[in-house]
Amino acid sequence: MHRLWTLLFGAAAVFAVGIFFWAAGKSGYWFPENVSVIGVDIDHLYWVITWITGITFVVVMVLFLWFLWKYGDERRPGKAVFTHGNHTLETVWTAVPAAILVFIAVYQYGAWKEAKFRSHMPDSPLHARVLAGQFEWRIRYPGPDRELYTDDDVEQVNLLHAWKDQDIVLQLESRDVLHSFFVPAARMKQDMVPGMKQNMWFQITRAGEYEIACAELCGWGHYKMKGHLIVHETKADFDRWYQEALGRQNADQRDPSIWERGE
Amino acid sequence: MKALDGLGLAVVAALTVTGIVLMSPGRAEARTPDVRYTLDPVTRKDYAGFGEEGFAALEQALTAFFGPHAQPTLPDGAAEALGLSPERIQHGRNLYVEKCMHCHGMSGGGDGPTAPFLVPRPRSFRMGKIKFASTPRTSPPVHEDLLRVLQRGVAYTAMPSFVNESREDLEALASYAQFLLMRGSTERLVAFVLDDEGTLEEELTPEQRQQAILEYMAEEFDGVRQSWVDARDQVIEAPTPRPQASEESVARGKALFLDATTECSACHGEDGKGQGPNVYSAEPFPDEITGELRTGYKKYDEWGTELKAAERGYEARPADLTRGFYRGGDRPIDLYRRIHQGVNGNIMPAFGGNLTPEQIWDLVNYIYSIRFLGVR
Amino acid sequence: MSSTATTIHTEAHAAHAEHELSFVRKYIFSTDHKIIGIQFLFTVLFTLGLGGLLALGVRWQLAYPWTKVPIFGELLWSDNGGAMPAEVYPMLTTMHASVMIFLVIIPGLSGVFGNFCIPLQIGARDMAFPTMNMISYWFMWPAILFFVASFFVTGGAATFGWTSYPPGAGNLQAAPGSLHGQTLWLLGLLCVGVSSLLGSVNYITTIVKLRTKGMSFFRMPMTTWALFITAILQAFALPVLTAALILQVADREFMTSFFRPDDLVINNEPAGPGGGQPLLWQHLFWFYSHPAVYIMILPAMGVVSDVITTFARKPLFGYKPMVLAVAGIAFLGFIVWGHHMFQSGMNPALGMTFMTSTMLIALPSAVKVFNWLGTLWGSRIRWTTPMLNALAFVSMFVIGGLSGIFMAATPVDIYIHDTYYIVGHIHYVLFGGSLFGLFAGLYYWYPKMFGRRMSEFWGKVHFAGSFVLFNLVFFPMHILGMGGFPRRYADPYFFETWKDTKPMNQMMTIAAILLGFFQLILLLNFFLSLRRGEKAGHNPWRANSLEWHTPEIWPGHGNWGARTPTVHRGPYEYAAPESEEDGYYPQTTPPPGSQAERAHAH
Repeated sequence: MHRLWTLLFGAAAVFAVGIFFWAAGKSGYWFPENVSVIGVDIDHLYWVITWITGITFVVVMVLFLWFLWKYGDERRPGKAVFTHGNHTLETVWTAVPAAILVFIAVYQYGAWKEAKFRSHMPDSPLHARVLAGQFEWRIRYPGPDRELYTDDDVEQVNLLHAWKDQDIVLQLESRDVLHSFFVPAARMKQDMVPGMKQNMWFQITRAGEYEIACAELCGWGHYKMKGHLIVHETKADFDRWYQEALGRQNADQRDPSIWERGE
Repeated sequence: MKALDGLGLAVVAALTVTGIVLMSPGRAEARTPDVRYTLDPVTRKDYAGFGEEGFAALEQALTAFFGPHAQPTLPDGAAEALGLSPERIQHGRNLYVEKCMHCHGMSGGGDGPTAPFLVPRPRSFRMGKIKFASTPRTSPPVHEDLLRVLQRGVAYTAMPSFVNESREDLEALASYAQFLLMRGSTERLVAFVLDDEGTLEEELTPEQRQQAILEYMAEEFDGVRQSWVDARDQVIEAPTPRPQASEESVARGKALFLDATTECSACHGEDGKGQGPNVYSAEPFPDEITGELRTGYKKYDEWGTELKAAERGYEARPADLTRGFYRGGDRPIDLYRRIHQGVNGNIMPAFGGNLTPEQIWDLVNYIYSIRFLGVR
Repeated sequence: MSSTATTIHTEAHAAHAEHELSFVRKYIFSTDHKIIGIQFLFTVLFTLGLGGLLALGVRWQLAYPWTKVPIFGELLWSDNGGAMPAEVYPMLTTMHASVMIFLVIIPGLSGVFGNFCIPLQIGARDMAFPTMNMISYWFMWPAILFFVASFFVTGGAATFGWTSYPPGAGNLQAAPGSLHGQTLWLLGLLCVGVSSLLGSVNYITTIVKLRTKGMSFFRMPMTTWALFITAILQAFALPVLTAALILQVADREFMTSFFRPDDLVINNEPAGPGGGQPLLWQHLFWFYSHPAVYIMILPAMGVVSDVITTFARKPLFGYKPMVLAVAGIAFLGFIVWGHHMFQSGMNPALGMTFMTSTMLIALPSAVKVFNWLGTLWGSRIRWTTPMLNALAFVSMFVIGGLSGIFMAATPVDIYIHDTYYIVGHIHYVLFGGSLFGLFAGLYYWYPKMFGRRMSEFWGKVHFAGSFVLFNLVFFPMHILGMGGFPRRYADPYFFETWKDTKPMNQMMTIAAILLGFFQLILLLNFFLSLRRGEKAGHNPWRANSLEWHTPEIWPGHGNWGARTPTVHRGPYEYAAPESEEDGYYPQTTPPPGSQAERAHAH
């Protein structure tokens, strides 16, 4: 009864599919809830590919297991089927996947352009400059004069403020090694290369606080680069925060508040 | 062969079970890092006369007084006097072991395994002081100073910002840092007194010696505690608000910066880039510690000097004032305090006695005027 | 038949008696391809253990971060309470990957099977350049020494990932392991490169020039085909990597600035002269290392094709499409390297081109899987250990291949790039694929290598344990990746987003440790069978291909006695009408009624 080995291969396939059902919606094992506009597209594309590959996987595995079970029976008499292949079959199973794969590729173009092509960058002023270094995000807002490195800038570490539905345009730079600006909840990621200025843009559709992580190995403290993206409800809320932060940055007396993130 | 197979299977089964048992949550105890406080290397070096026996006695007394690593305690109600709760210190210690220890070291000596590769080195808490405090140079820092460093990090160094941690965690870490600072300064003071009094050379039974050390320790700790309590009333304030950064003010500041009496530019350089002739030389000079000829930064911070460690990361490097950030904070009040009291543990001196508040503000205005010159 | 073999045997013996080789020349500095293949095998078993230990270190930290590491903690990090310091973790991930890729999989597939099988499968007496072959093996050792030594220099081993991206890796200031450990890593890789290059030149020449009579290209077994194409890949891609490695060594040690941008200050130290471009390294590196991914999988595909046909007792379904698929993968392999750099800051328009070519490379892989399925259809499966491992290769490669499509899709890759999704994918391809392929080949050719068989029973225990635990360790990585769980994080639980994934990671770690235990079974089975295994005979699997039809069970130098064999058909003519009861119809048997057959009968 050696063909019982088929069950082992079957168990692996069931485990592979089953764990997705087990994980559905569990914190950490599943997509963090999407909060960005581009994230809707990205999630959609992910599920399209998941369906296509999932069906392929199930079909291939069913055939595989079926063949193993059927032809793995040692009591089966006679020789194996003597064949060297089948031209029609080869053509079909080359052409059909080719069509599907090209479809998948072409289907991605739109979202990719939206996310990364400079021509799709929204026409709004620079929101902040993110300077990554070992192991911090220094975030500098140009302030009302829209120019970096003037006296109305606010600079904070690991805190990126914005407001809901804003076209957030960031300038990403690194001062030492490679880093990568990753906001899981917004599905956005961009490497930062020293000597290069990158832009990143996205729009958050829900107020709240989302984590920023570094996604390109940058040294021993890679895992310590935790930032927070704080999305205010309205621009007025953001402006209020900005004025307060600017005031505190210009403090020439003892600051009654000891909390960087405000009371 | 069949018998062998049976035996083999038993071995595989046994290994599997052992593996699972070893990892089981019930064995968390065995996985706790084996941390302990060690004696200050500077004490060991400076008071070598104590001998191993003496060091052991001192270590024992410290453990009796401040508790073992797993249960750090501030005796004599010091925690309460400073508004720190024992639970917070304990919680802070647990966080410290995970997040801080590999740089700052098991005993807070700034000597964790990662430390040798960092420029500048991680702070040692053993001297009882931190670089960027709001209090006078001779006093300990206050709770807010530690919280501020924890939240902002130290810009452009390996000290990261923990601004996104919960307040509870931050309070706990700040509390434990204070514990380490107080323990460190007490340790040094006791070693000094023991050496001065010659206690360890006397003919005493081990119990009597313990007793004697503990008495000194209580006495010295009392002083340390008092200084921490007092420091809370000594935070440096600017008596006048910062004036407008008028051209005149900036010009006066510049004059002060270049002046021969303040000597700002001697260290920070006339261009503010932090490579003035007093501290930096491209020509070879004999090293302060080893005497070997070398180039670069000439001086060491206190930690390097005490350890006689002529290594990367111990050099005193005056700030480059044109790069748009200051390690001790960007606010005017931070700069005011820095000029007023200097950088504790480093060669930046306190000017509070020599300059009037107005002069300090002029300097601040001048420094702000050049702060972005080097960034674009 | 047997009398002929004896005659040839005697003749060969007489011819060889004239120059009896010393022990050292015969077993250590040997130029015999079989000995070199076996030397590679022993070396790979050692490095596999090393790489596995490093992996367990990584897993420990992910399951129980900042706790005392069993056994090693006390020894290595007593100044940190026995817990792993933060800078050690990336060292472990870096060195695990480097050891596994460059010292296990590449030499394990190309080195072991290339050397051992190619001349036997094509009826050659040895490699075209036997001395070069020996040098190729001995260049592995400096690499191993450099890698091992790097753990003992100041700052420890390389920490900037097996991809060694500058400026992190290119400058001494960036991390502890960017001190001399990184330089040693680069030198080690150079040696691996030289070794592979020498090997590949040899394979190409041997296959082109030394095929025996009747062994046309399309009568070669898939293993030889795959190794042939792999060798071509290596010969074209390796010079680029070699150049890149030399440039990075120069950047680090001689202050050149190929990869260093202007005014770079790292760790508060000026890094050196600027003007370089960090992305250049990524292009050069991936121009080699993407083909390297195929260098790591193609030979395993060949091995698996041989094993499956032998134990399915059936011809390979679509032999020519299979060959074309391998060639297609090799060709496309050169134009997809940019898919590692979608998020790197490379022009996004290039991302679209690379996405399209990457999608297309899934095609030949799919064709291969379908053809294996076709081979299984209508077969008579024999459930031996090599067959089980080969079947595991097929089913795991399906998962690894399909998950690759997610990464190839640029927008989806924005999210899953540098997450555990990638880690899961690469392990399904390289462990589930290459390593199971290596196991299959090892069990399959062991009787040829040593004249004895490994224990089937223990082989199956090892297989079952490895297969189950492998899935338990690596499949959950996909769902972690869906959660965005980043790679190379010493403590992902520092983040709210991934805080809750610890139980899963602990389960994976326990499974990984047990997986390690199960490899001990392989080692024991391997070494005990050398002396105590059942005697194998000439052809224990009743396989058709040429390597099982040498005059002696363990042929001496020269392989074929007086005359090299004549080949009459392809290697997979199992179950042909003329074949024996179990489908056996070797390549060397002349067709019935032919002149050769009549001569053979005399």
